[in-house]
Amino acid sequence: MTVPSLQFLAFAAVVACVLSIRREPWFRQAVLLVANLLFLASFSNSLAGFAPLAGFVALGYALQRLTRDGAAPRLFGAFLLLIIAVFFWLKRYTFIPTAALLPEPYVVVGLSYVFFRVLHLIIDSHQGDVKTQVGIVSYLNYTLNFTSLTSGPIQRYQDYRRSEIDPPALTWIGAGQALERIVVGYFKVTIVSFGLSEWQHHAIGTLATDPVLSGLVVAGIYPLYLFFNFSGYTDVVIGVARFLRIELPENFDRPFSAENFILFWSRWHMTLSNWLKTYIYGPLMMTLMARISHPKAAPYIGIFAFFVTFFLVGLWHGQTSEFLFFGFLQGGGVAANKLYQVLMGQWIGRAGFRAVCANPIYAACARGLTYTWFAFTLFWFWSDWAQIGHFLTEIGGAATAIVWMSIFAIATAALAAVEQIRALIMRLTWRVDSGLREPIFHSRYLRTAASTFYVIVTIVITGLLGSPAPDIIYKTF
Amino acid sequence: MSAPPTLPKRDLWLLPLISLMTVILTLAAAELAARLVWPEQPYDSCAVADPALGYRMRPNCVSVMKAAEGPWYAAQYNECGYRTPQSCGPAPPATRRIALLGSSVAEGLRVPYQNTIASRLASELTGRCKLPVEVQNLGSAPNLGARLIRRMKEALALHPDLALVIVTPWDVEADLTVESPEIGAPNRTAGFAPDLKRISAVVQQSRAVTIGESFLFRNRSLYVPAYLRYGDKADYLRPPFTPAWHERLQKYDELLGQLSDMAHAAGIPLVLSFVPAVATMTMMTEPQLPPGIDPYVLIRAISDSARRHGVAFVDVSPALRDYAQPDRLYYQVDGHLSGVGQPIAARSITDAIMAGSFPAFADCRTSRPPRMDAAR
Repeated sequence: MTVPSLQFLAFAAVVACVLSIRREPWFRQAVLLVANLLFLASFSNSLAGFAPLAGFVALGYALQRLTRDGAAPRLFGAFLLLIIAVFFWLKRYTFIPTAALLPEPYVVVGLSYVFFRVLHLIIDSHQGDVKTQVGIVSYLNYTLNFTSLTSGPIQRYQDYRRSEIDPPALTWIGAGQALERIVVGYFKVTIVSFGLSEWQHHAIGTLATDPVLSGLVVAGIYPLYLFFNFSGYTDVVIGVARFLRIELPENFDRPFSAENFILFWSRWHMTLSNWLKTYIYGPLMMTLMARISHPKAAPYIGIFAFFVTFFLVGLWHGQTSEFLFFGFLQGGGVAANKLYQVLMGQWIGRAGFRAVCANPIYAACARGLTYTWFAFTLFWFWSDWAQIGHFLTEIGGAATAIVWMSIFAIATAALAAVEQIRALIMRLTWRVDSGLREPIFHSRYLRTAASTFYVIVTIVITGLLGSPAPDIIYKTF
Repeated sequence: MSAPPTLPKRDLWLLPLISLMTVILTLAAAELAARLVWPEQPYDSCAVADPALGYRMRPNCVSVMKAAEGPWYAAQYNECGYRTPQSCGPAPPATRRIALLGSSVAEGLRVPYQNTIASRLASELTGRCKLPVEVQNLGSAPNLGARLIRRMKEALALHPDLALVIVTPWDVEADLTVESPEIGAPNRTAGFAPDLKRISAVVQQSRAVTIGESFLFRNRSLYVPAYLRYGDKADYLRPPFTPAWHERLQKYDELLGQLSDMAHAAGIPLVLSFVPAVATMTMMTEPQLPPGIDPYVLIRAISDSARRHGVAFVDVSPALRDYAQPDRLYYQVDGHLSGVGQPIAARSITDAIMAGSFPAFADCRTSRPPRMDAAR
C-alpha cells in the first residue's frame, strides 16, 4: 500500500473510525497494533519475507531492555555497534561481502526509519530519558507506526508515548486543519511533483538538441520536485495521524528560504537532521572538546563535527559510491559554510558579519547559492556516475558552466521574489472573532476555498492522466 | 497559524458553502477557459431543411466551422450544394470524375477541405494519372438508408467514372429505416424538469468535459475497457454477432445491393471503402485484446457483402493502423477522422483505385501494393 493512494486514505479512515469506538488506552493500543501489522502485511505475501525486519525490531527491544537506565554500561557501546551492524547487513551495504547477505528477498520498507527510532530509544532509555518502562505493544506501535513507517517523520518515543496515553482531542478546527494537510499533501505529490518530474524527464530527452535550456531544467528542477514529493508525503501522514490523534513532528520549514546551507539543513528533513545533531553532532563535539581543550580549536572542532554529521546524512541515503560522494558534498557544504562563518567572524567581527547577512541583496544571493549547491549535490542523489558523465558530454563544459550560473541567477531572483510576495501577503490582515488581526492568508475561509480547489484539480488531473500518483522518493531509503 | 479554540457555529454552514461555491466557480472557470481556448462552431450555416434528405447545403454557400478538438475551417459548396470546389456541371474534357458518397466521414466533417478524403483523392489521382481528376463530394452526415439511395441517383446524374461509398461502423449501426432523423442544432427539451437526461445533456455540451474526455480517451488503458462497457453499440467487436447486429448487417447488405444495382445499370464501377471507428482502430493496435474481442469481424462481414454484390472493397484500416501516432488520426471525443487520418485514408483508396481494373483509371497503374479485395 502506497501512501499517496486512495487505498491508504480508506485504510486510515477505517482505523480512525474504529479508534473512536472506545477510549480506553488498551483498546487504542490494540487497534493501532492491528492497523500497523495490517499495513506492513500489505508489502509482501510471504510471511518469511518479514522475518528479518521482525528480527531487527525484536533485537532493538531486547537491547533497549538490557541497557535501560544505565544498565550494562560496558556492553552498551557493543550493543550499539551490533544494532548498527545488523542494520547495514539487512540494508545490504556494498561493503558487506555478498556471501554474508541473506539470499532470499525480504521486506525492508521503513527499515531506515525503524532503525532511527530503535537507536534513539536504546540511547535515551540507557541515559534514563525514557521515564516509563516501554511495553512491547507500545514499542511495536512506536517503531512500526503505519503513518510514518515508510518515510518518516522520525518521532521521539517520548512524544509518541504522549499521544498514546493522552491523545490530543480532535476538534472541528483540528479536523479541518488535518484534512487541509492531507489535501495539500496529495496536491503536492500528485500534481506539482508529478508535473515537475515529467518536465525534468522531458528535458533529459532534449539535452542534445537544446543543451542550455534542457540542462537548466534537468539540473535546476530536481530540488523542487524532491521538496514537493517529500513534503507532500509528510503533509499527508501528519494529517492522517492527526485523525488517529497522533501528533507527528514537522519535517520541513520553508527550506528554500534558508540563507545558508547549515540553516537549510535545519529546515529540510528536520527530523533526520535533528536526530543526527542529537546523536552524532552533540556527542562527537563533546568527545572532541574533552580531548582537545584549546579554546581556538573549538570552532574547527565544530566544523569537523558538522562535516561528519552531514556526511552521514548523505551516506544514510544509500549504499553506493554515488551516495558516499553525496554525503561528502553535504558534509563538505555544511563544513565550508561553517568555516566561512568562522573566518568572516574573525575578519569583520560577529556584529559586522550579522550586518552583512542582514543586507537584502546578500541574503538573496545566499539563498540562491544555497539552492544551487543543493541542486548540484542532488546530481549524486538521483543519477549515477554514468548518467552524470552522459550529462556532461551531452551538453559540454561551457554549457555546464552557463547552466549552473543560470540556476544561481534564477534561484536568487525567484526566491527573492517569493520572499517579497510572501511578506506582502502576510501584511494583508483582517480582524478575526477573537478581536485580533491575522493574515488573510491564514483565514480558514480562504484555506477552505483553496483546499477545495486543490481537491478538484487533483481529482480531475489524476482522473485524466489515469495513472497512480508518483511514489515517494524517500520510501526507497 | 492562529486558530480560535472553537469553531463559530456559523462556520458549520459557512465553510461547506464556501466549498460548494468554490466547486461551482472552479467548474465555471474551467468551462469558460475551455470555451476560450477550444472554441467550437459545430453547426453548418449553409444547411437548409430538405424533405428528401433531411437537409442539404445551399448552393454556392460558404460556412465556417470548428470542432473543439480541431482547427477552424471553411466549408465551401458548389452550385449543387456539394463540398467540392469544381462545378457539378458536365465534367471538362479529359477530366475523370469520381462521385463520393457516404455520411460525415465522406463529407470531411470537422476537417479543412485540403485534408479531406475528397480533396486528397483528387490530388493524388491527378498527380499519378497525369490527367485531371475531380471528386464531387456528395457525402453529408445524414446520408443513410433511403437517403443514400437518393444521393446515389444524384451521383449517377453527374456521369461519374467511378462511384465511391465510404462506410463506417456508425453507418451500419444507425437505423437505416429512419427517413429524417433530426440533424443540426441539438433538441431543446420543453419544460424545466431537471431529469437525468437534461443533466446528462448539459454535461455532454460542456466544453470542459469535452476537452477532459479528449485527454482521457488518449489513455488506452482507460478508453478500451470504458468503450467495451457499451452494450449493443460495441457488440460489433464481439463475435458472433448479436441478433440486432445481424439485422443491421442484413439491412446494410440490402442497401449495398440496391446501390450496386443502380451503379451496374448505369455502367459505373462502385467502390466501397471501410473506415474504422476510433474504437475499432484502438483495438486493432492493442498488443493484447480482451477475451472475445475481434476488431476485424465487422470488416469481414461488410467485405463479404461487397463481394456478394460485385462491389470493389477497400479497407483503409491497415494504412491507419501503420501510422505511428494513432491517437492523432481521430478527434478523440468527436470520433471523426481528423485532418491527419483523412489523407491516410485517401492514400489507401487511391492505391486501391490505381491497382483496380477501372477503365477510366486503366492508364494510371503503378506498382503500389493493392488493397483491393474484389474488383469488378
